[in-house]
Amino acid sequence: MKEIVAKNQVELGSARCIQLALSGIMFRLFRSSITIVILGLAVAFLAHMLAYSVISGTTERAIWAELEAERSLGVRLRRLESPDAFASLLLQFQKQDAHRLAEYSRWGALSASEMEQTLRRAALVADFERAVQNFTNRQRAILAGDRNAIELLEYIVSPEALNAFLERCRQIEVRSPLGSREALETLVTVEWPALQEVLHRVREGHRRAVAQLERELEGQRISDALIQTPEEVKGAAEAVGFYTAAYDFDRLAAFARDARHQRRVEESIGSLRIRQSLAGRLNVPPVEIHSLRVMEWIAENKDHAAELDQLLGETEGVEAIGADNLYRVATHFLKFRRLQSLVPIAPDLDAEDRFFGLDQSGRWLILLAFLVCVIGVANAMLMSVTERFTEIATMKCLGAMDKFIMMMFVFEAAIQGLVGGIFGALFGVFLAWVRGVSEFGGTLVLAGVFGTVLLSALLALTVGILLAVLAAVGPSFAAARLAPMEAMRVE
Amino acid sequence: MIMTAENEKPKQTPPDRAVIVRTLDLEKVYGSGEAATYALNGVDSTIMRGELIAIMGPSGSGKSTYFNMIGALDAPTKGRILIDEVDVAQLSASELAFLRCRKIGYIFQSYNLIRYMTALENVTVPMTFSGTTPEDARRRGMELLDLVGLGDRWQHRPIEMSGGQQQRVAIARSLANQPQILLADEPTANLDFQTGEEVLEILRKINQERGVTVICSTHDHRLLYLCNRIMWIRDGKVERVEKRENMTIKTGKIGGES
Repeated sequence: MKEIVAKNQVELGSARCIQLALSGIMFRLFRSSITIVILGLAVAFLAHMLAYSVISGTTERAIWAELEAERSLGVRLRRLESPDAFASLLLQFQKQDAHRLAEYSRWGALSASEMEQTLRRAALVADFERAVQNFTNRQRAILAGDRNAIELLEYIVSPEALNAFLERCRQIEVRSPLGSREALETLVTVEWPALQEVLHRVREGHRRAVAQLERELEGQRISDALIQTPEEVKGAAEAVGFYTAAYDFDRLAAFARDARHQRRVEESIGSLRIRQSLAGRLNVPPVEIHSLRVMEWIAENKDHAAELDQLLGETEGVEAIGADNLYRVATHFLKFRRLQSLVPIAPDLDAEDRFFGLDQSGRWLILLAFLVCVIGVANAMLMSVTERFTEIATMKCLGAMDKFIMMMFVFEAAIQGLVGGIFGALFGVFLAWVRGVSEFGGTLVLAGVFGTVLLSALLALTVGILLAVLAAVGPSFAAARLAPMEAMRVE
Repeated sequence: MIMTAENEKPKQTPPDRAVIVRTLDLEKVYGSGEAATYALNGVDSTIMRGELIAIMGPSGSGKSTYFNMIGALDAPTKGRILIDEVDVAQLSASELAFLRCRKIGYIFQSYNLIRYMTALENVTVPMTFSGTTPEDARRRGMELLDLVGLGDRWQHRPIEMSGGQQQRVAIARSLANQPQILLADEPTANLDFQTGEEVLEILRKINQERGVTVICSTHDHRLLYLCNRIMWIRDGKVERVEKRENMTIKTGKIGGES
């Protein structure tokens, strides 16, 4: 009778594995905590990069929108007072903004077919401009000299110039703009003059509308009238063909008023009496009094605003504006100055759709930081496994299956990754918030970023756990595969 | 040390006892080519069920290698190992694990307890691997610790115990799943005289009371008075096998070698 019958070993559940892994971690608390810290730092870095990218991107876009709104108020006010520039007209026809086109078709008395033709021509010119812009610097020097696209377009109107241009294109193997000679020739000789004619007509119409508006307001300056009776100006502007539905006349009036107040402060600094008096108060020589310094001084507190207002009232030929107005203008001025310095150029609006709004250098940085972390974690895991070869061998002698041993290490790594990852993700997001506050201060926009920030923290956490598990699989697989005695001998 | 005839009277040894471990032309080579070293060079041996066999030999004789082979802890380069007439080489990884877990108990020279577990946890590890429920494991673990006289120290960790105590925990662990074979690799080498004797006494008890086959490699000559047979290994070969009754034990001389 055989007493020893070899059967398959029972397979153990993961609960027991986790239990073993946990007691292992507790016993080697110091070593484990170093691994956890390394993992935590990796996750913190990743979470920080992602969260900060989201926070700063959102804030920058919000600031830019505010700046744009302010700028567009300026543009609207100016358009009520003087006709659009030729280049801006061309641009509007190319952008095909419906409100502007409605105004232009009224002022230029454009029929539907004329409008269609004009839009087509403007698009052709846009194609030409794009082609010229796509030239390399060298090609551009050879083909256009120091002319810009429009100047080039007007230059090649003569057949000789056109021929020379196309000849040069052929020589340096550049595809001529618009492709064929015929297309280019039609553009310069027919389409462009016709387009110019329409644009001039529209501009003239706009000028007439402005003149008529001024007449309606009985010689008042338009911005002055706007401050006093915005509704009246709105009616008059509508009557002369402005598309007033797109304009918020109350805001426009406030903008005009602030602009006037600001202008008045700047003008008053020119007065010797005020300048000297301010110099005394600010404790600087009179030559160093300029509008920014004065605005900063006013914004310090309302008493300063009241002082300056009194000064303005006492001075001949200058009107007081009211301390509150002064204070508001100064803070507004400084706020926009600050916003402009925070976001000097348009933020990348496409960034929103990209991976957490990261730009290319951000992605490289993450990749690089990642490599370092992978090596750090892999090393920590390798050490942790090799110093436990005896333990692994003993367990195998006692009947542990390879799978169980691997599972134990993987669970251990996953637990370490989880603990390190949670702390790391929280820390990283916290740092991103601190950095955002220190950079943007009160203008930091956190509305609507919560979900994405949470997502970036979770992503960083997941990556951390995966990283730890992957780093543990290799060495523990090698150790588990060895025959028990070989593992013991490795010591 | 002077032996008296009574206290180690070997128990009855029926001549037709079944063979439990058999090795055929066992070879183990480390390295290859010119550097090849034969740790074992053609070992044929049989070990009977229920006996207590001592494996002796000088250091480097291949004793430990032989020991690992019959414990299915290492694979031979050539030859076969039959445990209960089953070729170990034929077993799958899972079956090997089963064999190590339930049929063979191991006792190591350096104890090899798991450092972060208490005595009881160490003893119950093999039971965990064999799928015993935690309650059963705990109960049996306590019984085993009582057997080796450590019932009151069940929650001590290895670091809090002496070498002798650790080795006794290791013995309790090796008995966890009621193995048929107990392999002890120099179990007394790291222990002082007195503790060594205690350990040997436990081994003898297990062999006699539970009928467990005990295979024990050792330099400790006290074992000679307890065992049924002695196998000498030298240079990777079985030099000779003697029944204890046929052996003259000379005290005051080095070794049983003549």
